[in-house]
Formats: sequence, C-alpha cells, structure tokens
Amino acid sequence: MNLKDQIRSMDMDNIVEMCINQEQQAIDLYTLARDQAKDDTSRQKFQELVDMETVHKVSLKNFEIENYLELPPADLKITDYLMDPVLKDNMTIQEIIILAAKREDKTARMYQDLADHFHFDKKLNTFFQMMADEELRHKHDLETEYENEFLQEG
Amino acid sequence: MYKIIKAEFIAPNVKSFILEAPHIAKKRQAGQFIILRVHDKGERIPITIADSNAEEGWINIIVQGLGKTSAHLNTLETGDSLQDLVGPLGLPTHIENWGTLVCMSGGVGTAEALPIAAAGKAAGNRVISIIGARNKDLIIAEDKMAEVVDEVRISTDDGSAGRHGLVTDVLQDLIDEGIKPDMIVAIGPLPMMAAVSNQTKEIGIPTMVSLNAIMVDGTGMCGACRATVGGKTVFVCVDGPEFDGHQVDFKELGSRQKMYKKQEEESHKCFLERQMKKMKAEQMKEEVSA
Amino acid sequence: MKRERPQSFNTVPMKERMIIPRQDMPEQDAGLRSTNFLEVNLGLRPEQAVVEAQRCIECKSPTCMDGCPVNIKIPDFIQLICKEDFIGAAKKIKEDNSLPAICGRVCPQETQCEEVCVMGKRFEPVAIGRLERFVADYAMQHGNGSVESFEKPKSTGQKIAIVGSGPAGLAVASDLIKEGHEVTVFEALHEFGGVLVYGIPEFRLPKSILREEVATLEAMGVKFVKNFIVGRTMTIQELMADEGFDAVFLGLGAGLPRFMNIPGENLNGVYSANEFLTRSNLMRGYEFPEWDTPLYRAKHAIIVGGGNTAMDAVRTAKRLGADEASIVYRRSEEEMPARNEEIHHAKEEGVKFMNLVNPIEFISDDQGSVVAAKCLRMELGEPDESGRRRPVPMEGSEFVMDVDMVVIAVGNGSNPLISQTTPEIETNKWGNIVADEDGRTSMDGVFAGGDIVSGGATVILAMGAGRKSAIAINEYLKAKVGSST
Repeated sequence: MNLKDQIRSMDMDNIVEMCINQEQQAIDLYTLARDQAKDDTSRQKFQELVDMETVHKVSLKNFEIENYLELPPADLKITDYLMDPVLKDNMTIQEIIILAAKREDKTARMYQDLADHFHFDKKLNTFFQMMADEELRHKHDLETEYENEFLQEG
Repeated sequence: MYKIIKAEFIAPNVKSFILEAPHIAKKRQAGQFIILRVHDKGERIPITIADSNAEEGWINIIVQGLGKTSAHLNTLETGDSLQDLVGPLGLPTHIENWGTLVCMSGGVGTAEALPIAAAGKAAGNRVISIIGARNKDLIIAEDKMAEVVDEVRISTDDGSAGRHGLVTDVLQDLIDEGIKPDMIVAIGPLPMMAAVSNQTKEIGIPTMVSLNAIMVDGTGMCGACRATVGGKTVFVCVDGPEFDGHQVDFKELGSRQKMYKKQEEESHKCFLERQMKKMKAEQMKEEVSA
Repeated sequence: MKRERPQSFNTVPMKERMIIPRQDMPEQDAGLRSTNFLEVNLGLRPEQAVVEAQRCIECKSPTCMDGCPVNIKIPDFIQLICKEDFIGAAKKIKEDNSLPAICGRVCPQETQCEEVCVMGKRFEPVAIGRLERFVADYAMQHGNGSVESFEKPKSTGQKIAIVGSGPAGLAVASDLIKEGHEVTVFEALHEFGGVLVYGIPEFRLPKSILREEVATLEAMGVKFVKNFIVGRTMTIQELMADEGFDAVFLGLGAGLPRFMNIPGENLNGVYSANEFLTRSNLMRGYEFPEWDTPLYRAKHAIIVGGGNTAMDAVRTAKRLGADEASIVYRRSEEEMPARNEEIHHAKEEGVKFMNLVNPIEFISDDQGSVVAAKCLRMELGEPDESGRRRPVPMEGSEFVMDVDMVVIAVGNGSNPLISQTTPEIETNKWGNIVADEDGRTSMDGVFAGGDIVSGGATVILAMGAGRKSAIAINEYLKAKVGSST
C-alpha cells in the first residue's frame, strides 16, 4: 500500500505521529553524523540540520510554520540517481550528504502527499505544502554543497 | 639501494628475500606490505612483509612466481638490487586477546600469517595454525609457525601430508573436537578466504581476511584496489589490507583481480620465452667452451 | 609604488604592431598525433617569437602582470625577446616563476594573463604563454646559464623537508636552496614531479622537461628522495624530532580520486582518472608489453567530466586506439572548466563531446566487466542565486550506450594519509589542510600549499602558494636561529 492509500485510512493523530517519526529519524541521523564528524565545520553543519528538523517537529504540533522560506529553484535531482549509502560509523562526508539529501527528498514527498490529501482543508493544505517546500530547500542546499565539492569537474 | 641481502628458494617457484630496508624495518608492523619494482620499466606490485628486523635493518618477503613480475623477481639473487621499494603500506593488523585464535593460511599466505600468529600469541591468545597446500612440497614456513603457535595442523589437497582435504575441513575437525575459536584470521588465495568466510559466517565466528588486490600507487591515490566491504567501497591499500571476511564481496574482488589476465599472461609468456632463450644460449656457450 | 617601464627594444611602429597577426603555434597534424604520444605543440620558431613579441604595444599600465598568479614581469621579458636576448628573457621570468617550461605549456593563459591583455580587447591577445614556453625551452637547450651562475650562498645549517615533488614542492625547493638552507624533497612515488609526471600526459608535457628541471635543482644542491612516504615511512614528528628538520612544507596535492556513487562503478573497465592516467603517464602503459604495467585499450571509451583531467584522459584513450572516445559531461560545453586549447585539440583529434549527458549506471557482462553505460539527458533549468543555469535531469530520457571503458574524471579530493597520522595538523571537513595565506598550518614549523590546501586547482596556483610559503618559511627559520642565540 503506498503512502497516499495509507493516509486515507489514518486519523489525524496517526498522521501527526508519522510525520514526527520522520522528523525524529532525521534528527537522529544528523545527530549521529554530527558526533562522527571529524572537524568543527561539519559538526556545525550537522547541528544546523538537527536544529532545522527539531523546528519542524515543533511546527507539526501546532500546524504552524515560523520563518517560512520561499520555494527553492528546480530540484537538482543530483542524489536521486546515486546509490543509497549504508548507514555506518565510518561514513565519508560524501556518503553522509547523499544520505541526508535522499532523506529530505523522501520527506518532501511525504509532505506533498499529505498536502494533496488535504486539498479540501486550506490550513492543512498550506501547512503541508510549506513543509514539503522546506524539505526541498534542505535538499537543494545539500546538493549544492555536494556539487561544489564532489563534482567540481563533473 | 634496495639491496637483496639474501635470496633463496624455499619451495618450488617460491622464493624468500631478505631486503635491506632500514626505514621500513623500523616502522613495520604485522599485516603491512611493501610495493616494489624489479626493473626500470617494471610494474609496481604489492607484497606482504613476512618478517623484519629493526636493529639489523631488513625486511623479509616471500614471493610466488605466478606472474611476469614475480617470476622476474624470482630470478634475482643475493647481491642484486631492486629498482624501487617503498613502505610500510596499509594498516597494521588489529591484534587483541580474543582467547583462541585460529590462523588459517594457504600457500604463501602462511608466511604472511606468521607475524600475525606471533603477535596473537604475544597478546595472550591460544593460537592454532592451520596450513593448507596443494601438496607437501608447497607447505612453507611450517617450522617457523610451529615455533610461535600452540598447535599446527596441516592439510594437503592430495593427502601427501597431514589431513587429506582443505583448511576448511581442518577447521570443521577442530570444531567437532569441541574447540571453539574466538577469532579466525584467514590469509591465502581469494577462493580460500571466501570459503573460510562462508563457513565461519554460518557458525558465527568472527573472521579477518587479508585481501590481495591489483595496486598501482598503494597510497590511496588511484582506486585500482577498490573492493566492496559491507556495501561500501573501500581502498585495500589504505583502508586494509585486513577486513571483516563476512562483509567482503569476494565475487566482485575475484573478477576485479582478473582485469588484466590476458595481458599478464601475454607478458608472462614473453618473459618465459626470453628466459628459455637465455638459458639455451648459456648452455650452448658452456658446450662450446667445454 | 609605480613600476618602472622596461627599456623598449621594439622597433616596429605602434600602428603596424596592431596588424601583425597572432603567430600560429606549429602543431603535429591532428590525424597523425592522435596515434602517438609525442608532444602536440612543437613550439614557436625564433623568428615567430620575435614577431609575436613585437605585437606587444607596451601599455603604460600593463594589466597582464596582474592576470598572472605569480606576477611574472611580462612586459620586461617580452622586450628582451624583441632584443633577441632569449636567455635574458628566461632569467627574467625565473625571477618569479621557477618552472617556465612547464607553465608555458600547462597554464590556462587564456583565463589569466592573456585574458586581460589590452591587445585582446580589439585584436588577439599577445601569445604570452607561447613566448614563455619558447624562451624556457631555448634556455634549456642552450645551456641554462642559471646553474653555472648559481653560487650557493653560505649554508645556514637549517634543514627543510619538502613533502611532495609536485609544482608546489618544486617551487619551494627552488626558492629555499637559494637562501642557503639544506633542502630535501621527499616523494612517495618512484619518479619526481607529482601530478606533472603522473597526471599530465607526455603529449602535453614531455617528461624530459621535468627531469631537466629536477636535475637543475639537484645541481643546485637540492636532495631528492624517492619511495619515501611521509606518514608511513616516517612521520612528520619523526622528521623534525629525529632527523633534525627545522621546518616542513607539505605539497601533497589532491591525490584522492572522487567516484560518483552510481551502480557499477567497481566493474572492470571503470577507472578513476588518477589510475588511468598514472598507468599511462607514469607507468608508460601505452608501451606495454615493453613496459610491464598493463593498460586497457578500449574500443569505446567514455570519460565523465569536463576539466583538463578529463581532456587528458579522453585524448589518451583515443591514442590507445579507441574507435570512439567521448567526453560525457553534465553541463554545456561553454561551462566546461577545461582549457579551450585542450577542447579544441581534442575535437581535432576526433574526440566526441556529449554535453548535457550524465551517466547513472554502468552495466556489466557476466564476467564483471563494463559493457554499457545508462545515461540521462540533462537540460538547463532556472538560474540559481549566482545567475548560472543549473543542469537538471530530463525525466524519461534514459538511454544506453555501448562502452567498454569508463574513466571517472569529476575531480579529486585531498589524500588523508598525512592528516590521519598527524592529528596536530588541522583539516577542514573536506580533508584539506587549513593554512593561512602564507601556508602556516596549525602545527608549528609545518607549512602547506597547493591542492592539499585549496582543493584541486592549477599548477601555477600551486607554485604561487609554494613561493609565498617559501618566504614565510625563510622568516620562520631566521627567527628560530635568532631565538636560540
């Protein structure tokens, strides 16, 4: 059963729980990456991501988003066709960025499905649409960083 | 530079070299390797360091002449010099007191397993060595191994010495006798390490293998030696050469090792033909002067 | 401070200079050269060099010097060519650039000195790079002059260890030997030159030039030690504490190949550019079996990437006998970072360019070898914040092409060996060594420059960084002596 079908049979509490779990998984992933990071800059970077996702978690409780950022430019899809890195304690930063970007993409699609589902409810529709856009912004930033470092001549 | 202090055959087509290498000898730890070139148009090949002596400034390598470069290397004698020698490369073997350590080795792998067995013993393990070879003539370093471990068991493919069978059969024998190894180190040809890893995965014994891969620079610069371990690409020269045998994609590594098979065979064939011509010419010279 | 204009030796009237056409570089014919590894550019003839030098209009405020990363005194050396004092011109260049024979060949002059040449505004820029190469080659052939006239100053008794014999290391060695220090260059490989010997092919940079440059430095007193891996054979700490080196310069380069993380990247026949080029350039794989190192001769090769490394790899694949050797690059041709000259030469040699194409999978036969590449077409999307249009995959545009070799040339990162064995040296998240503008690292007495600090860049920038570090190292050493007396 795909996500769209799942949502139809869920009640609001379950939906919120599902979203919070998604955000929590991201928080856990970035916390792990932060703790493994070998230098301060990347530790900071992952802490930023932890903070961003934590804000999302809070927003979900109130169906409100603060400091909404505008829709990013077209999805670069750089990591869409790359292999899923294996989550381990010896990941390279290249692998971590790919992993994170793919997560953002997956989460964005989840929120998009929810936005489409709640097309009849303006408040929920707007909220989930903004969440989807935020995740896409995260993905875009990660992929830009990836492109600058790992595809310098590619 | 890179002088051969002593060269001698220790088995058919298997030669032991003591090389003058004070810097390498000083830094070398068990499990590490060197890269060498035999002549000025030679290729760079990796060879595990079997032994070393820091005070006397030498390292020992054991070479089986299976390809052009190793065959050429095995024609060198005491007093000759190598073109290039660099090391020590790779990460040293991680040794701890696991309890019962079983070192399983095949062919030249036994010379490579020797320092690990010795270090394992020094760390407090009970060490059992299982040495496998095709026949009794190809068993190497048995005596040296016996000096450092608690027990040596032999297996030969043709039954000419020890148990008739493979090292995996001997391991099964040990287990049937009630001995439960805490750690296994397997060093030898790739199919042997793969077989051991499969066997131990099923019975749940941690296993370390020492991978051989094609290399060019040996310092992580080119990626020729990449392998997949645990779903992730690693460079054998800087992330290894030792890895968890249960995580290694042996199939992929096996096919990567064969990349230049055709060219290598051609090169080896030419070399052997040249050697034959040389030998014949020398024979004729002797006959003429006699 | 206003710079004094060099004495003019150009007798051609100003108006006439502007109508002199830019002199053509004699080249090997494209059809012939794509079958051999001999140098493509044959070099200007002396008459051509003088004519080209006469095109310089001797601007009151020359911009060319500012375009050069090491500020070579371009107007000065050009005038010396007009005077036909070619050795003098070479000496003038060497005041700022110790490897002109190399830079004259590999520098991207079209985006440096020649880009800002005033003549270039209305006509073709003065061929500064070709002139540099001409005088450097001339000086090499006609007795360098610099070695005979080099008087080694009194020894300071201080020892410098230079790790890496690439452009940064060679530049530092060249400057510090002149200060009277004891200079030793350590190289991990068995030949000196770093990327100049393993990365750049013979047909762009003949190795004999490199050997000459190294021989010159050796004659000046620099010690070269090959097969020595700092970090393994000996650590930096040991070099300083046990071997008595007072300072260390790290010119390690960008020696970590980047892979794309797509399926099939570990198949036989898929190479990193470093491996492919090292087999060809350093190990002379193109002369197998006379040289032992094998090198795969593909029929259909694709090289993924758009920089000079990709050009070197694809032109090498062509020379190895490929029926088809193609560049596959995600962006448009205009955005390719490679030098225009390399792209131009590659096209003449029959290399195909597939722009706005990106591979997403390499397909295997039953033996684990690559037989095909699945690719996506890209289109240029909306501009980003910098105004550049980003390539975006076109959904459903997958296509498969037969290939039997792939070379991944998307860039290089910093080799982590030294940073792993020397935790005192701070690195950034990408593994590059953190250094100030003079190359000082977080470890006392240890300096770094070139790609290991900046990430993959050019030979001339590495040399420039090396020169800056040399000045700082010299000051550091003087201060050390001062404080111990």
